[in-house]
Amino acid sequence: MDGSARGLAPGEELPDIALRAPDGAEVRLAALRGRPLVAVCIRYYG
Amino acid sequence: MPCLAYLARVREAYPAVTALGARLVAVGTGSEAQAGELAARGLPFPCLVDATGALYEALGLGRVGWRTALDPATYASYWRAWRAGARRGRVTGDWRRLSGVAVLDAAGRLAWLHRARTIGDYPPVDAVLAALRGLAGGARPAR
Repeated sequence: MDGSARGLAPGEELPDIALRAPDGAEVRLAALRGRPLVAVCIRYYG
Repeated sequence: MPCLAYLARVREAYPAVTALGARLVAVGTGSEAQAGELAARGLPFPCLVDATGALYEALGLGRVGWRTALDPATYASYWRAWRAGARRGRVTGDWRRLSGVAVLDAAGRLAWLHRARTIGDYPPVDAVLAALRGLAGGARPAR
């Protein structure tokens, strides 16, 4: 791995980041709280 | 291509994820249209786009560099994905982003994280499920 940033530590809260759905709608991570969340971050969808 | 092979494994495990009371989202840096095409092929969870890479930065996920490009593990992961039936499509977004899988608790706090060391370095799905099961007991990041 090259150029890794520090990133969150265990127990730290993830900032409220705005993502986009395929239809262009905004999806905020904070709106997904209330249940555990698995975020699978891939390189690209192709 | 290893990304698509991993999402196929995640799809198989998705019922176990929801049975544990969790949500699951896929996130990529590519185009919204490409995410939509993939979702239309039957993924039961949302495929979202992080155009700015803000989530990747927050999680401290790395970037592809020359060491990654020369890592034999990269080519091994492509070979495994090809054998599993995945085929490479159009590259969109920031191709230099490395992948990662994060488990957050219900309050949005990081409970477990796998940061890829090379292309195609994804955690076993069982490890993700174990992290979800361990939330109440205080799971810790793998890396």
